[in-house]
Amino acid sequence: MAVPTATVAVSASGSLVEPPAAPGRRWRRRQRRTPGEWVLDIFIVVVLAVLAIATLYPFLFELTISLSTPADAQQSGLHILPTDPSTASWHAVLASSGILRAYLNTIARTVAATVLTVVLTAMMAYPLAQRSFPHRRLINFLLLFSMLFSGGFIPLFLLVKNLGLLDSRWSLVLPGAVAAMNVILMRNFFQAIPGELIDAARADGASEMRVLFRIILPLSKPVLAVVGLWTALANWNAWFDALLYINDPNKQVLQMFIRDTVLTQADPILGGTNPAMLGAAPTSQTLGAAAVMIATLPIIALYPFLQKYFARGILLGSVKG
Amino acid sequence: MVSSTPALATTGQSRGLGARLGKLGRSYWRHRYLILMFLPGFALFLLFAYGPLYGIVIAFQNYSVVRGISGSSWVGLQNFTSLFSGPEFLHALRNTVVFAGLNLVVIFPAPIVLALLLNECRWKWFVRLVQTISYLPHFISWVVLAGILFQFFGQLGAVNAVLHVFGLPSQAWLYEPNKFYVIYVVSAIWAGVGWGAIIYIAALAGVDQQLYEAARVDGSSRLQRMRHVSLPGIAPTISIMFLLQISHFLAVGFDQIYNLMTPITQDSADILDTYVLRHVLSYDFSQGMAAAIFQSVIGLVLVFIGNRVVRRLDPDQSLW
Amino acid sequence: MTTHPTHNPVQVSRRGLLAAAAGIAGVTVFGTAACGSDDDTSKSTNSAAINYYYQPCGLKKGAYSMTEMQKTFGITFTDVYALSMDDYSTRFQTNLAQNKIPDVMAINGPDMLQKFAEQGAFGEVPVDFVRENAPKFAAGVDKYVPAAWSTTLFDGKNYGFPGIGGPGSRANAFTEWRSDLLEKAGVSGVPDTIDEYESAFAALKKIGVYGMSTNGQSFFGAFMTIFGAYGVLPMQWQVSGGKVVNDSVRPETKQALELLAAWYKKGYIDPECMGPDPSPKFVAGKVAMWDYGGPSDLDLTNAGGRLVAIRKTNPNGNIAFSAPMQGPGGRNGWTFGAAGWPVAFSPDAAKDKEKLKHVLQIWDRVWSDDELATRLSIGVEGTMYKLTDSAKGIAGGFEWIGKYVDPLARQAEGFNSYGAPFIGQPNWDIAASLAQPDPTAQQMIATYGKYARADLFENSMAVPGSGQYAADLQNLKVKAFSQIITGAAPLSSFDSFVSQWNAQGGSQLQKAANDLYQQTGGGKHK
Repeated sequence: MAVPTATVAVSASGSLVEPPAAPGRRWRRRQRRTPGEWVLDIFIVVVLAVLAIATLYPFLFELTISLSTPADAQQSGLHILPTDPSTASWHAVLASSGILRAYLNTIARTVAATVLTVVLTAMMAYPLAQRSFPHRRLINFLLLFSMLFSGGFIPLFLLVKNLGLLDSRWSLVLPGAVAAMNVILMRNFFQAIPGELIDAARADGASEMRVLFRIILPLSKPVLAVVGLWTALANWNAWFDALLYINDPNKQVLQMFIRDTVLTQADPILGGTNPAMLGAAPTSQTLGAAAVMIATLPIIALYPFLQKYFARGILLGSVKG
Repeated sequence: MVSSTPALATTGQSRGLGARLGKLGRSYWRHRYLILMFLPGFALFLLFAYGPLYGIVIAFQNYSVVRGISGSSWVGLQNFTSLFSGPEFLHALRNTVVFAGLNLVVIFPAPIVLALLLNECRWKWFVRLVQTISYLPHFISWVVLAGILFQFFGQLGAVNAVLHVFGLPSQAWLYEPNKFYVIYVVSAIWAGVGWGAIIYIAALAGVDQQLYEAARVDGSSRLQRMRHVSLPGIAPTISIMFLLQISHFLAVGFDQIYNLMTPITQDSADILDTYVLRHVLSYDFSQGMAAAIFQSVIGLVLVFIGNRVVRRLDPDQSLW
Repeated sequence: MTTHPTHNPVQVSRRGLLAAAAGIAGVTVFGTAACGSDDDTSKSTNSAAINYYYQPCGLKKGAYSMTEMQKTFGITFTDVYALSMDDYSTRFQTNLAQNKIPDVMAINGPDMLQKFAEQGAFGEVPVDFVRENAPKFAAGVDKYVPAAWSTTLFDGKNYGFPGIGGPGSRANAFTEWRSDLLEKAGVSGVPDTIDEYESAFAALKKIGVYGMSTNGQSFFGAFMTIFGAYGVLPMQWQVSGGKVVNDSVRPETKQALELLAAWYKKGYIDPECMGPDPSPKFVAGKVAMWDYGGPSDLDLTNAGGRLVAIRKTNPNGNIAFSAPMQGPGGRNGWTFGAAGWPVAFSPDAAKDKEKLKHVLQIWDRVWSDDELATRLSIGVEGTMYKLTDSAKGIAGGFEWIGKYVDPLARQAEGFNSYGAPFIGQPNWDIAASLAQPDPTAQQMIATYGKYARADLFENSMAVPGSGQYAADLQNLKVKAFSQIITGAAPLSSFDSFVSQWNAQGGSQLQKAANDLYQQTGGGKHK
């Protein structure tokens, strides 16, 4: 049983990734470009370069502010590079006791939630991609409906509490594990996979689980990367659920930790009461920026890592034709 | 899928209840493994998405957190009438519809265009670089982004400096009601285009390479290939994203508008969410829920219509 | 753009903002907050077992001031939440939803107290009982902030006792001038009267500098000293002609708007004062007067201080403080009053007289025992701080030492930036010294901050119905005033603003304010 399935998968991915792309590139290089093509090429590069500069700037700005002295942070200007680099704000945030544990807690929840989400979502989306699956339309409607209506945070809190999940790390993972949007997108991608591949595998006697994990998922890396990325980022950045469900400081997540650290200092500003008494007001800008950088830099590295799954030519169309 | 066609063919025929149940039973049996696979995620979904959904009834209550839903008094549609009768409701609704329209017409297509451009660019290292950079604004809060915009479009900012170079008078970009729409669109694209493009980049990765080869052999230009291969290839994704977008029609970028609007531009910028933020009593969950339900019902109606259209064109791409 | 998957409900961000807005409304915050009964044992009659909500956050386990508290009073904190102001109300409401109403809790603002008293979250505690068991504190409230007694009232009943901010909370934002720019423009001295402002602004315009800027988006801060010169501070309740009226809708307000619109038209006011943070232009030397400064701005040892920032690019830059502008209505600056977070009791605790007494006695003791209040607020001399002048004691100023130089380390021990201890609050004789260690800064606050005027009720939110109408009215005021000042709307539109104001709840609030005024005997509780 294992042997024929493997052949299908290999032939699928094997012929997909390399052969068509490589000759194509060579062929393209040989071809002489028309002036129109040149214009198009230049146009594309210019547009993308402008976009890259524009979108890099806010991040660079925040990074620079985090490395500036509070006095420099108050100057008007572009803040592209710190004029008088200072790591004081980074130190202040990183030196807080408990930040390491908060990091580990966040990594744990992110990894657990991402794995669980991708697996459960794929297991839900694959049956829904079969047009004969019973109650398919009803279920699809339920998915969409849940995206539009929510009961607010108090009923969700009471549910988590009644399940006995308060102060449990599962409270951060389970409630968001299956998001309707992910299911809908994955189902949509799965529907585009040629039915012949699945039929062939079934004919070879492969179980549905095997079809999903050996044939569908290897062909769906782009959408898995998208769902994985979205889930990982949403979990990494989440703090509201931790505020609701987690009291134990040993289980507190990074975003909540940073929120507490930075807000503690920012509180007088939020209070707006006594500027006369505030010594630390402008420092909160650099501190806040340092907190954002410290909290986001690790997760930003995820995207380049996943990019190879967005590379062209993962799905082979030849099977279809 | 090919295998499912015979089952579909018989659905249209009218039969007795018993026969229908029998057919359903056979369908269950035939899909028993798929059902087993489906259930764990579905159970979790039902539990956490529908378990707390009873909370929407507080829109019809004078809800008290202390007394809970069972102990709170019922007020019928009062929360809705007071929402609709607020002094600036119609104004906020009109603005919201304008912004939602801009979302659909200008902002929604932007990530698609970006994905297509990235797909067409020859230097793959450059593509990867742009992809990675363009999604960075997603990590920066709107407070910071708005601060940057206020500086750039401000009196001493870069935009007015450029206008000066061309001998044009400087503009108070962020302090004039009619310019707010421009700022809204530009900033929304700036902050969201890279993030939004991720899904389309993934979809393009799934487009059959041989179709491009075939098109090239036919001598079609790049623009033609973009139009006749790339675009149709990601059309299913676009249609799904479009349907999801119109389901959130009235939920326009709250954080963005809240941080970009000034007292001078408020008449153009005030949307339902900012209106509710002010108008709703502090800590009044009931009014907030009434507003949320109003937005969701509009979204549901729109997506219902949209879904019908899509289903007629291609049943596979419909949401349900 | 596409939404990313998240299971947080739609209302979250909106709620968070509401909570933040409410936090701002609840202003003169003293750091301590209440006991929360987080487990069923604390609902027993054991009056020594107390659970706590603590705000601000960052408290560590076994914090110094918490331990001292337990030792001194023989109490046990079974559970302590350390929460930021932003997160306070969310946590508070999830506790209410599970019927875990804390025994004693600080409520962030009278409006929130009114809201939850209506829902039955608090137990009634007669004022006389409070006066009986915390006599010295009650006398202090009578002496300094009599209006604060109204912050615990709802529907004719009393739900606890007022929390009052320190005397520092009366200190206002300073008017500060770039004296180097005034000099450059040929203006001698610092302008004081309307005419002097006007001629100075004209001279400044010639050198390409805007006369003034302000927090234009702020419902209270926008042009506060200019309005103050006409004797009005919009959004505050004051007595005029024997009646309580809101300063937003008085004829004097219209006069101030007329002046501001004229100044704006002449180019004296930075148009970008309506943006999110106009202060960098003051630092950059594009604006000469800023109305929201403080003593730390002059402090050259303060890395975040404004003068340090100015001298970074302009070594000759300088700041001079001044009293607010003198006008027909005198000189006035805006301040939030000293009536801060009221302290309320749960219905169960309100029945437990022993527990009530215990809490009130703690509060009374901290108020009256300066040595204890000092120890609980800033710790031990030599370990955590050192006195600048040991002969003068704490009034001579102090300096944090060792790791306590870092505000986060202080926070962890339960020392907050308001100079208030873990529970209770220090006497006003020492409160200002505890909150502001630097005697020079205290001196400046006494000189330039004394013009600050608070609301008739020491907290405008004390007026019943504020929770319902205030946010809408604040927005209406900010919008209408900005449009009149910038010329987007004519001065005559002030009259339609007034009728809109009344229609959107202004009339109801005014009636409630007058009722409250009568009921409390002119702000003083009977």
